[in-house]
Amino acid sequence: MAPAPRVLFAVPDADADYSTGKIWRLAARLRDLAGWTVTGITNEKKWATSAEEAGIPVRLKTFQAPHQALYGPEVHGAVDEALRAMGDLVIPGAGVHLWKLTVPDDFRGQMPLLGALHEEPLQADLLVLPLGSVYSSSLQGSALQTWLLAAARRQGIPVLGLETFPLGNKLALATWPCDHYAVRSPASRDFLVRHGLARPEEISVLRYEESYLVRAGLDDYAEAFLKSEQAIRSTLSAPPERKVIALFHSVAFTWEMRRTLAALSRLAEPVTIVIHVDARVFRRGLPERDLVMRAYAREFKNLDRVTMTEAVGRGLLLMLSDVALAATSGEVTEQAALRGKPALVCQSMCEERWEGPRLRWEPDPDAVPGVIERWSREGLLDGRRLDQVCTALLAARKEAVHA
Amino acid sequence: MPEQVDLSGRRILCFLALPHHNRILLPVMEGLQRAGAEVLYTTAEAESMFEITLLEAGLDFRSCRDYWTPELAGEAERAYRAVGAEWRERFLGSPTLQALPMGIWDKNIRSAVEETFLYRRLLEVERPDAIFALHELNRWGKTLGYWSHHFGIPFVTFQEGHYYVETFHFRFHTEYSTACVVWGDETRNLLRDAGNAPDKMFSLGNVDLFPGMSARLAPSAVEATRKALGLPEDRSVVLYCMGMANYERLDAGLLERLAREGNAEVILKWHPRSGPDQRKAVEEALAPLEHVHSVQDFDTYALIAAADVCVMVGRSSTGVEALAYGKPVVEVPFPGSEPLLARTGTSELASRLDDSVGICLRLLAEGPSPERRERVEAYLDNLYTHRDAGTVDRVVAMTARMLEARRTRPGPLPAGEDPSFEASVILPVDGCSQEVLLATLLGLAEHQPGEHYELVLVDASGDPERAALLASLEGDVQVVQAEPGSSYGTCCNLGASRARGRVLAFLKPGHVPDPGWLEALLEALAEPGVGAAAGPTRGPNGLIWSLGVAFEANHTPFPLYQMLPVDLPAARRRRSFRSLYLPLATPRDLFLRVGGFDPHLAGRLEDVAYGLRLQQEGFGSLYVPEAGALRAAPSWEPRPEHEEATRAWFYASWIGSLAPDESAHLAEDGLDSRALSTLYRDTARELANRVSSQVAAGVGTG
Repeated sequence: MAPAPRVLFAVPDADADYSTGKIWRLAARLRDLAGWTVTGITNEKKWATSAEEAGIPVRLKTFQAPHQALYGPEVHGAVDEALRAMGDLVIPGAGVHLWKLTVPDDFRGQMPLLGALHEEPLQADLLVLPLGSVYSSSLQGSALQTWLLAAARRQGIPVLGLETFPLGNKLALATWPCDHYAVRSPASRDFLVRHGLARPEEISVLRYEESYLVRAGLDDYAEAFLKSEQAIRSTLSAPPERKVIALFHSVAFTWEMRRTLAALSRLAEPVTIVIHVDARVFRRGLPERDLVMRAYAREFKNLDRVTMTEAVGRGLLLMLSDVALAATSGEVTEQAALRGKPALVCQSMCEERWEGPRLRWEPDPDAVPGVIERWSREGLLDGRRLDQVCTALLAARKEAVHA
Repeated sequence: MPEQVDLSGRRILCFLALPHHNRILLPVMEGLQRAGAEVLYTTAEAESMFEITLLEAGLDFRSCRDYWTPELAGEAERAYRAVGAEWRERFLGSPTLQALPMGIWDKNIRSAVEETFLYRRLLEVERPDAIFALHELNRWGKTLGYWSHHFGIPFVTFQEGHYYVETFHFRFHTEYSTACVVWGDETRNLLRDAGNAPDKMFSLGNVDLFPGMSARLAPSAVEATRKALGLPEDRSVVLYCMGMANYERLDAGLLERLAREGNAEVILKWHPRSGPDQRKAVEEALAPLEHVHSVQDFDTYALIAAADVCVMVGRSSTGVEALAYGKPVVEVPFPGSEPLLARTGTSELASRLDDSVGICLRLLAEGPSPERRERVEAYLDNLYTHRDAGTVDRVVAMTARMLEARRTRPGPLPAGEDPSFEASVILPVDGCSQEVLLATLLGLAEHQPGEHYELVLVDASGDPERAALLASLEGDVQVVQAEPGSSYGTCCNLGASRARGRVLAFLKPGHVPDPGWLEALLEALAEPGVGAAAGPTRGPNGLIWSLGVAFEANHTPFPLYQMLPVDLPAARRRRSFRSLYLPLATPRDLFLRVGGFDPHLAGRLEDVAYGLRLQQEGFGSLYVPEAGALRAAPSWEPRPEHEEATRAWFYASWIGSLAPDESAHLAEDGLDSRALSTLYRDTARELANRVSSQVAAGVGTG
């Protein structure tokens, strides 16, 4: 049996600060879900301690330049070498050499890492490296990023760039050239593509709950889901490989529910449908779950994988789902909007409209699959877990090596 | 203000960024405005928030970002992506580039690209006649300089300050500057040694030091300073200028001794960037002392003016300013660093702060020695070419000259009789020695067949004996009288208007043409498109004096392969240059049509400018190895009083036409800079060996 891949998970101080340390939980989750060896590396003692608390073995790596002087001969030599390295690069459309505008003053005046980045082999099969932010990074954090990336390049270790600070600033060079990118949203994916920094197939959008671990702030829904995801998937027989469509049932909209279920059978991609029912709702002397079984028995026969729950709360099911279908607006649509999840409200004879790209008001249940397929085409349903992304990246690399 | 300076209708663009830019540039801008110019201030976006500098100075200004357009943004974005993608790969492969974090590089590159396009747009919109910035070296200076060449706008920069780190750090200051203003020869020489162009540096003095000096030294001003600090009238003043450092301890007892025994008030003036933490320990120790004061936000010059002795702690240019104010200076270098002034013999040296007290007491009692005073005077003369308040006027006058040069285009010269000779050899005569003149005349007579040419002698010597000699010459000789003191170019133009040859060949006294010189030049000029021809000139040492003009990295001309052996393979190949050095030949009609030599260039660069002018007209300059000549002695040496004016005129006239081509010439000859250095080293070694042999053989080296 092949040994488990070794992942080096880098967390520069700025990225740890930004996520208030949650990012280490993403590393732990990767280890737990993939069953791999995950080691952390950071430049800040506080965050090394934080990693250990999350159960991630971690290396503290800092950089010290041997020279502090701004005027020594080593500075002169470095300027000459920088000139040679950049010699023929000119700004297209203007013709001026880039070195003239950047080396003699800006570079000569501050090279705080001169001689500080010593070559050292990495013990890893994959490097996960936050993309960081030019505007927020520290010197040591930037040094760590550069050092790791250069080492990975030398050793041919694949690098997964992880969006932490939101992409979109006009500074794009420091969005490291990685083998693959795990970003927080389709908008970030589009940004990378639009700026020519990566091709679409080199980018994966993380599922919301994992992107939450690298974002600023706290989210009760995500926290609750992260604690119980495995149990929920097991209870609902919802494997991570399949998209989940959550249907929040309402006894007042039987026509819409039935026809929606019937229409979902036409979806080309196999999905897991989870129907949420409320244990407190009784009609005709029956609980809602029994009503559902009676009302839609015929439609269920045509669906590949459908399950029903009253134990899993609305919030947790929303977090699990890729698409939320409801008969009315309320908690589901509101919370879905806050997390960028596509949601659809189906009410017969309601106003047909879009509220932004991710919330659809639909009077025709037959149109529901078309809306879902549209979201799929637009990449709004592409959320993947980091372990899935890493697995695919390593497999692709292995294939490329064998080829 | 020189009376003749009128800059009405002229527009000056001035880039400001940091407060010290104002100190130098605002007085200059005020001078330009007094001469009638309109000044447009500009700045850029940076984390140092440059706009504050202009806002606090109450200036109207335009940021380069005001010139943003969507099209420009698109152009910049495309350029950034293209150059950035390639740069990023180089960054990852270069540990040296990684000495600066990627994020900072990214910010710098993005800003550089954007500003490149923004400043191009600004210049297209505002169309200034001249651009001023404090320094060329930074990103904004380089950007403005680059576009100044593109648009043909004179670019004036300043290298103020007292330089005290290793020479090699001062490169790249004169690449695009039309004029780089420096205090004096010391700075000019230092920057020259660092690879900058001495031709583009103008020693015009110090803008801000001297204008206020007499006012600050006035008894009433000194009294006001004393009053402001609460200093008793009957006590001396010792000023300690505290360089940037962490002062963990300072023996308060020593300063108390200085105050007591010297009957002095001791003032500690802190560096503007010293923080409270750096001052704290010292100030606490000094607090109980009645005659010791600690100040930070106080006019340094006023303190120097009020001081009897100045002590410089650490390296600072304030030391030379104290010397300029006539104050004795004691220097206390920081541990591990070299003294700045003491090595020049202009200051007293105290190895530690404690030692300064005894030296100050001696200076208070006796003053500096006469030898020290002499050294200080000599040093200041070298440091400041002018020790007066006239620097702004000199900058304004130089600017006016450069703007005039941009506007002036010479018209055609009048033609004399129709050509009746193949050539006219034109020899302007200055006050050179008779031997030098005769060497040229004899060389001509002996080596050039008389049927080919007439000789036109232009006498600007103002010497009756010389006139008599010239009048005594026989044959096809014309003697033309020129105003004594006329420039070489003016004399040539005068001679050309009288010349009767189809080709004009210009010589200087001291040039001795080799046999075949004129025939080779005439043959070369018969080639289509050739507007000028010249051969190799060698010095009395047998080494190359000139082949043709090359342009080096600072966009200045220089004689390619000068001081290498004449049998260098590169010297034996017919080739094109953008310009040639004298002696040279050119068709008479062409010379007259383009206005001849530029008469504003007094004694140098007229030949270089002529080649550039021909290039504008579509003619080339050809180097002809067979047309050799000896430069037996110099003549028409540039006069110092005209030197700066000539340089200002030349570099303003030819902005944008002086792009470096040295590497291309070397490549043509299968060389690079390293191989060229080896050639020079070998030549020097051979010369040394030859001299050694001659000395050993008892032969004079001449």
